[in-house]
Amino acid sequence: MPEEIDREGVRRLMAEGAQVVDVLPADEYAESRLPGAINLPLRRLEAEARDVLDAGRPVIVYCWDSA
Amino acid sequence: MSDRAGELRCSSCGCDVECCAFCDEVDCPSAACYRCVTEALGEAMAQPHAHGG
Amino acid sequence: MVGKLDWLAAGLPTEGTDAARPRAGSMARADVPTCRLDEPLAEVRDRVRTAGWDACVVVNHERVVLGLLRAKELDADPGLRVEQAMRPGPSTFRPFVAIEEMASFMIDHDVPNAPVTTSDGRLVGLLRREDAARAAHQLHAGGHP
Repeated sequence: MPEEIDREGVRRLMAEGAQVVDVLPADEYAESRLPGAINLPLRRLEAEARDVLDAGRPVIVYCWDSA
Repeated sequence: MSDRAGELRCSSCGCDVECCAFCDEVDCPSAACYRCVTEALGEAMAQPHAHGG
Repeated sequence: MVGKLDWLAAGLPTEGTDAARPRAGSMARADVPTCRLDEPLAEVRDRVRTAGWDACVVVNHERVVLGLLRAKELDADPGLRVEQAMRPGPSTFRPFVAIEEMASFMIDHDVPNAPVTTSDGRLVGLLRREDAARAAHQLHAGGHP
């Protein structure tokens, strides 16, 4: 079940081994991303998430801003 | 260019400012407003993609 | 709620081709002297000058920036408290601001130093004009500082 977390929550989950997903376009991902993040642009998220992500671990999904 | 003594204008957009948003000085010869400073420094980065998240 | 913008604004580390590019946060001096509002100016000035600095950032217990003491403020009436002498609410800059832009502005506006803070207002460090200018120059010369 998805829930919103704040920056400290992100850092805590990252330290605990969560998977980090960057849904921004590939060129933006290449330029700058959170450490350890993988790139799953929004238009591919639904199709590829099951293949790329481990269902047994928490997943953090982020975009550019909170909007 | 101001035609009233004591009036400070943004050197980029010409809007009235009380002081320069970069250096906080009221007599800055290159005074800039907050909006122009943040745009110039890239702090007001535009949404880079269509879906806005 | 957090996004990449918030992460960058907090000065947290990133990966990618842009990660190594010098920015305000990476060039700011984290070892800048700090002080509290209620400290005697004379004591702060002595401490700052002994440490070899000519500026001090006024912070609270959470390291949120409240003011700035540059050379002119440090040389004010030594009987004052920091709160009375400081430049209150100084302009602050985010860690991700490109160093070339900061250097250009600091030179154009004759600003000797500028506090770099997170989006929460917490001090990352003090960016000195000479450090920004040197980094910008090295970028144009084709290297990284």
